[in-house]
Order: sequence, then C-alpha cells, then structure tokens
Amino acid sequence: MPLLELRKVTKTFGGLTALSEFELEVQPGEILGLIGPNGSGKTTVFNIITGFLQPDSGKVILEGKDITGLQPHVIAKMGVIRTFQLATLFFDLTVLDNILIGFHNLSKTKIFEELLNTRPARDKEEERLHKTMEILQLTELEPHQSKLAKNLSAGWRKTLAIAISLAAHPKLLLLDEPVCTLSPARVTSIMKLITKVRESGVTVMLIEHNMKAIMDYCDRIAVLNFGKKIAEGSPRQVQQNRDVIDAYLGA
Amino acid sequence: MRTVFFQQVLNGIVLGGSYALIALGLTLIFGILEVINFAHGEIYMIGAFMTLFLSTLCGIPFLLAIPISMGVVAILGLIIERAVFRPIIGKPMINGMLLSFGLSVFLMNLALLLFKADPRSLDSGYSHIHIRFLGLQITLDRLLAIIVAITLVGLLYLFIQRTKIGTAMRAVAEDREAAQAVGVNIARIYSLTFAIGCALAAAAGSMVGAIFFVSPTMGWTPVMKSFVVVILGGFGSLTGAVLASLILGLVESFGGGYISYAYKDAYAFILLLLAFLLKPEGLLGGSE
Amino acid sequence: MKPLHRYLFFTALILLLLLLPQFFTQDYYVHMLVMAGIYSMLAQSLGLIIGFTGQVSLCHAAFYGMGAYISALLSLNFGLSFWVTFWLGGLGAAAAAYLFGRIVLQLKGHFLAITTALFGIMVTLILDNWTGLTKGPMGLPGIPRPSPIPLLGVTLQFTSRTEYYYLVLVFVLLMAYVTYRIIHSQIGRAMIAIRENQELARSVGIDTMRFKLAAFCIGSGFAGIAGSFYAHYILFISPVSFTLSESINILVMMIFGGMQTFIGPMVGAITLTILPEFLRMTGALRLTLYGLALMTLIIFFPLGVVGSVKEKWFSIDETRS
Repeated sequence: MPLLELRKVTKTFGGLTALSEFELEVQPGEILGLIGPNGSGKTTVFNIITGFLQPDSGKVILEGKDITGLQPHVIAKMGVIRTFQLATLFFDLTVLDNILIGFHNLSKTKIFEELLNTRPARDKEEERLHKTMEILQLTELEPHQSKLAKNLSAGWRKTLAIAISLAAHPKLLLLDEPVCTLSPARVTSIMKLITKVRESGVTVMLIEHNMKAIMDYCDRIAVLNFGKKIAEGSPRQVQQNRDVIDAYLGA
Repeated sequence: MRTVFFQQVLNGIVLGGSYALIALGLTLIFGILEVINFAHGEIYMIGAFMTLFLSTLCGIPFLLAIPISMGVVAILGLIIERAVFRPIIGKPMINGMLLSFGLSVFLMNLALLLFKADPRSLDSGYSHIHIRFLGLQITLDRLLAIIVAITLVGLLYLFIQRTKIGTAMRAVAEDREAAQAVGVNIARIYSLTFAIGCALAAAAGSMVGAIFFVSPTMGWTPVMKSFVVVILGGFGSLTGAVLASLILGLVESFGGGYISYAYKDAYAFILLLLAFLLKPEGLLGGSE
Repeated sequence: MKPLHRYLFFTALILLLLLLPQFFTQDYYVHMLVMAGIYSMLAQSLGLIIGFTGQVSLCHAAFYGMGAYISALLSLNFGLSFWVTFWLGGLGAAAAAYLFGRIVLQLKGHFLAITTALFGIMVTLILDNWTGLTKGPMGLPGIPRPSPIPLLGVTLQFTSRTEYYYLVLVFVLLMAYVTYRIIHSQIGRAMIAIRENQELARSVGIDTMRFKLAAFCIGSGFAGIAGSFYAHYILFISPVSFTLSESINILVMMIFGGMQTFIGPMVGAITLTILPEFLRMTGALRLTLYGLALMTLIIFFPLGVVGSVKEKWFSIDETRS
C-alpha cells in the first residue's frame, strides 16, 4: 500500500490553476523527487498534503486514511512533517531550543504533571534533551547548539530546518528545496543526511531545483508543469522524457 | 417617515465618507509599509485642529484651509514616517504596532495638555445654509463633506491607476522585492504613501470637525472603526474599504437613529463579529 | 546560582517583603505597595499573553474590570464573600476570554490588536450604559471587605492597609508561581514557539489555537482575579478604572520591565506604580510621557529593563559560523 496518495487534486487561486487533477503515489521508504519549472505548483502540493491549504477537489490519503482538509498540526501529529521553501526557523532562539520545540509531541504530557514539575514531567524533559543531542550529532549541528538560529550560515540553517522536522518524528518527510543555493560540498552532506534519514525508515519527498541532487539521490521523480503532472519514473526515464525537456527549455 | 429615513441615509453617507477617507489612508499605509498606524486618529485630529487654527486665527476661508491643512499634515507625516517608523522596518510586527500605539497615546495626550479637552466648534460658514431637494434637507457643510470625500477618493483612484508613481506604489504593495529589483525607490514610496494617508485623514478630520466639533480625543473612535472597515473591506483592497465604509456609515446612522444612540460605537464591533461568524474566510485574509 | 544560594536569596527576599510595611508608617505608602501588587498581577498576566505567546491583547483592562464587577455585584446582591467571589470573578473573566478568543485569536497580530481594543471599548460602553446592572458611571460603592480569616493565630479583619498588603503579597506570589511553572513547562515552550513562528510551530504538530487560547484565558482570568481584589480593596468601582487607558498603562509596565521575561513585568509594574506617584504625575501628562516612553522603549530598548540586562550579562551569542 502506498504511504501517501494524492487523488485528482485540483487547486485554483482566483483565475490561476495551481494544480489540475494531480495524482501521485508515494511508496513507503522511497525518496521521491518533485521537480518542475518555477510556479508549476510544487509547493502547493506540499501545502495541500500538510493541510496548510485546502484543495478545491480531490483527496489526500495517508496510509489508507483520508486526511484531506485536516488541520496542519493534526496532520503533523500523524507523521507528515514538512520544511518550508524559505528557511523557516525560530530565529531568535538557540539551535538547541529550536530542535527541542520539534519534540513537542514526543509523548503525551499531562497538564498537571507539567505544572507541578513532577517526576514524569522531568523524565520526559530528560528524554527530550537526550533525543535532541542525538539529532544534533546526526546532523553535525552539535558544535553550534548554543548559537542563535539567525546567526547560522545558509547551509546550517537548512540543516537546522531538517533537524527540527526530524524531532517531530516523521513517517513522511516533505523537504522544500533543502539544498537550493548551497555549495556543492554542502549539497552532498545534506543529501547524505537525507539518505541516512531514509535508512532509518522515513519516507522522503523533496522539491528541488538542483538537478544533480535530484538525479543522484532520488529513487523516483515526478515532474510538474503548469499544475499538471507531465512525467513520472526513474531519474533516467525522466531525463530522457520529451515533455520534460520541452517544459524546462520552454520555461 | 420617509424623510427621516432618507435623512438617515444622508447621514450615513456623510459618516461613511469620513470613514472612507481614513480607511483608504490606513489601507495604503498597511498595504505598502505593512505597518498598522494606530496614530492615524491623531493625525486626523491634528488635521482638524490645523484647519481650525487656520480659519480662526489666520482668517483663511474654510475651503482653502483644508488643502493647506492637508499639506501641513502631509509634511508632518513625512517626518513621522522617517523618524518613527523607518527605524523599525524589518523588526517583529509587534514592535511597529506598539510603536504607533505609543505615538497615538503621545499625540493625543499632548493635544490634551496643550488644548484642553473641551470640544471646540469649527465654523465652516456653511453650517447654516440648508439645501433642499426632493423633499430632503441637508446642510451645506454636510453636502460639502460628501463632495470632498468623493473628490478625494476619485483623485486617489486616478493617481493610483493612471500615474507612474501610482503604479510604482501598487507594485511595492504587491511585491516589494520585485519592485525594488526593477528600480523603484522604496524609501520614497514609503514616504509618499504615508504622506498621502495623512493628508486624507486631515481632510476627513477637517470635514468632521466642521460638522460636529474638534477635540483632542476626536480621533480615537473613528479610526478604530476605520480599522474595522479595513478588515471588512478585505485588508488592502481600496474598493473594499470604500464599500465597507459606506456600509458602516449607514449601519451606524440607522442603528443610532432607530435602535440605540448610546451604543452607536458598538455597531462597528458587532458588524465585525457578524462578518466573522458568517463569512470567516473573507476575513481570514488577516489570519494565519 | 547554586541551589543553596538560591534558597538563601529567596528566603531573604520573602523576609524583606514580609517586613516591608514596617518601614512605611504612612498609610499612603502602604497603599502604593498594594497597588504595586495589583499591577504586578496585571502586568505579569499580560506578559503571558503578549510576551510569551505573542498575541497582542489591548483589552486586558476589560477583563480586569469584568472580574471587579462580577465580584462586586455578587457580593452586593447575593452577600457572597470575597473568598468565593474572587474565584468567580476570575472564572467569569476567563470564560469571557474563551468565548471571545475562540473567534479572534485566528487573526494576525495587527488585526487581533485592533479587535481586542474594540472589545475593550465595547466593554467600557456596556459598563457605562447598562445602568440597571452596573449603575453606570456612578459606580458601585459599599463593596464589602473580605470576611475575616484566621491566620497563624491572628484574625485578619482587613481594616488596615497592611493586612491588604499581606493578602496581595500572597496573591502575587501564588500567581507568580503558577506563571513560572507554566513558562518553564512544555506548555511554555509551545507558547514561545507560537510567538516566534506560528507556521513552523504548526508544522511540527503544535495546536496553536489551543495554546493561544490557554494563554489568553489564563492571563485574562488572572486579570479578573486582580480586578476582584481591587474591588474589595478600594470598596468602590466605576467604569473609568477599566478603560483602554488602563490597558495602555498595564502594557507600558509590561514592556518597560521586559515582556519576554518572567520577572520583567513585575519589575515594570512596581517601578511604574511607585515612580509616577513620587513624581506626582497624573492624567494627560502621565499618559503623554507614557506614550513617549513607549516609543523610546520600542525603538531603543525593545527588551525592556530586565530583558536588556539579561541580554548584556548572560549573552553567549557567538558570531556567524
């Protein structure tokens, strides 16, 4: 069973059609790339999956359950976590605090336990801190943990965004342009991180303009143009697809 | 009975016109500078006082005093924009809000200290002239208020749609970075927008001051209601603001006349709540 | 601070607070201390809403007033004692905040602020005009003092300001403790996340409406309790004490002290209650200076006194990597 299905999803803004009868299946454990010229509707797909936008018609199915139109935080709790195109962080907080917030839903906290700072609450906090350290190590952010997020370089910012999303314990991770504008060395290290994340059991879908990253690391690719899917398949297949070539040259 | 009804309509249009002038200024400032100017009411009030002093102390005829007042207030607006709002562009939105709030408190209470709280009358010279038509009666000053409002709104539309600068303003409102990329001088647009907004408020204040009275606290309530108008009109839509102003003006007029005068100021709020309950999507332009 | 030092510090502080009235023989000064206590509660509760959760509420005085009126009316009309009515005042304010917040907390910063300001104006209008219930601008006189309670062998009659001082101290400390616990819990963390970046908070599963509502209701409820205290202290209330001006007053105290910190608002409240009294500033002059102060604070010291101090002394910020 596919992890995520998008069935005939349509979205218009005023007169503009952002997505037209878009259909997609995301298989568990894969890294799926979503590409297309600017304005082709890629981020809209993410917004609709995660509930930040409602589709005009169509359905979003997660593990067989219809999640269309649910609120973003509910969908996030179900394991669909996204990052944003422009690095979205808690800029005035430290790297450590940023990731700690991601662990908000680590375990069900009871209000009274929280307020009275009882043993269970303190234990949960211990656990959060411990897991945050794990993520800091995994993402190599450990030396920067006390820095304010706004003082990080572009590359570390994007890494932090991924770190925060990891804290939220995703089943499906939606990354919006995770390596755009970064240096080749950086791109490689982040893409390697994403591969490690996949190995731990997380399904990844990513939007990117960096073609090399997409071709080298994705299992499958879907191509959007003017809100319609024009191609889908392995990197090799997509590269040789006539429509795709036309779309990019024409754009 | 019929005449009372249409009398209310006229009153509503007068009110709506003044709200429209204020709301247009607020909408422009919000759309372009992305700042809510809580001090707009005090600008309105300063405009009224300026016209008052120009006509009583300098003997300048009312109709001439208004444009002069608008000019002076526009310059004041330039100063305020430069000194107060420019430093905090880019800072969190709460800062801008609290800043303009502080300015509002400062200006209103300074006026209270200088001019005392007593309402003063601004004699336009037209308040005793009654115009009769179709069995209805309106005093000339109210009629002038409507004419002035329509004229200014019309001029604003022409300016925004037909001139180069107006187009630049619209560009900045839509996408600041893009506008900058094509060479628009953002700082100048900010200053101009603020100045225009203030000038409109000054006109509104002058007209309302002539019809009713001028006092240091006159700005607070009309501007609060104009904020409601901006929300109802769709946050940044000029046409919406004008329409919503008229609706509010009429609702207040009828509500004040037929339901309760004491709660007149609450109608704006009730309208807002109603709009929220009935059509939340329309208002969620201002939500997350 | 080491735990031992911390205990010593707090013990010394508590002792000082307990002995404070002994230093002030004049009733007027004790009155100042009580008012400082009330404003402490108000500023701190507003700090929870604006400072920690980032929701700009300009109607705090309306909930302050609601608590005062509910408490006073219940006492006057049904003979209930303060010890019952202060709960009801707080709950009433919190309930009103819930109903109102449910609708408006969806609005973005500016528009939330305007709508709350309008709400505050509406509440003032109702208090002024529903004379059947509130007696309008004439106010409600003759509110009973809290009924006597025994404490450590002594019976407090609340006939002297010093007794009220001890009572307000208890209230302030309890409220501060609850606020402290909230801020330093996962709930507080969620609130900060909402303040810093609501979209990001949502994307990691934080139910932003729930926490905004919680902050708003708790903060407004605390304001209601403060209002109830005020009513049974001054023994007379009228709408003029709960207007937008008063909301501004509280706002400035909170910002001055440092709205993103725990003790900031309290510091601001105490300073700005006692200082203007010393300088004998009232009415329009006070507000003019407040407006100026607010602008200066926002431009030059947005973090407030405590916030700026914290930043200068405890900053471990490193430069760009």
